[in-house]
Amino acid sequence: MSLDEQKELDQLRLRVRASRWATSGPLLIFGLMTMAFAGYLATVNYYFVPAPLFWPLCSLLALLALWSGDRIRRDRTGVGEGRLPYGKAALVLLAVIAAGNLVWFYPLMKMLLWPATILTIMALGQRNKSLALRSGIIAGVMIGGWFAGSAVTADWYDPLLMGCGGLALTVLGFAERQRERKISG
Amino acid sequence: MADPAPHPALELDERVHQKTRLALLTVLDEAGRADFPYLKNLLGLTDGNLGRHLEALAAQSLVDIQKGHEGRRPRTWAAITPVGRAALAAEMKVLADLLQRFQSTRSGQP
Repeated sequence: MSLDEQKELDQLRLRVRASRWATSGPLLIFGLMTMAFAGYLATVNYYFVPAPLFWPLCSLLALLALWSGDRIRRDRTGVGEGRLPYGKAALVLLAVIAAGNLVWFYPLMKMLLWPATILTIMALGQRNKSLALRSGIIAGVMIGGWFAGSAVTADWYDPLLMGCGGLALTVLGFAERQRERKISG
Repeated sequence: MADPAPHPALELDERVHQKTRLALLTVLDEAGRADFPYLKNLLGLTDGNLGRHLEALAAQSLVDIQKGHEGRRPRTWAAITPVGRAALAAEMKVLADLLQRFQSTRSGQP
């Protein structure tokens, strides 16, 4: 196999990934869901579930939205769901939430289950380096912001931080979609 | 004197090494599964050619072919099996070793 053939196989992988919206889809759905939850928190300022479950629930709903959207895409394009299907990722997250509730590791759970962190873990499971890198950077910045803001008691801080994170994910998702369009032709 | 280590080329898997089969397994490794029209268009194959290669891979349990209907339309999916993933990973490793060996020989390294 020559270097050219190796590049052709890599290109083939990229084209399949682009057909699956494998990077842009999760960035867009997680971004939009995070912004919706942050917007709700900023305007209503009431947790409809116990507070530590608020952001994990956002992640779970994002995964379920991805799962149902992916079923439609799969039927249309004829390309499968890849290594770690969104439905399976949602089940794993549900199990983690249930286990976390039983032992109540509140501070760790709140930090670990932020949407961008979930997205990064899922991307690693899917061996999607592009998605893992983008969501990992945003997760790092958001967790840093959470630590930095631990002294801030104002109600607006958390919704603002999470809203900015959601916006960053959405913007990256749109940019990635443009790139995928070019790859898949 | 100990026998020299076998050349990596001898470790190539003939079931996988053929160019179209390698491409098919690469696509299916990434997609998990894909339907016939998608594979045909992506790889620029004819119906007969694609069918022959998939049957050869299925005979070695490297892919699983699922024939079904969606509504009244027949639809055939090809899915990679765990054996197929392992065979592809092993083949890519051997090919990478060969490439490295070739490049180091050309540049005069031991």
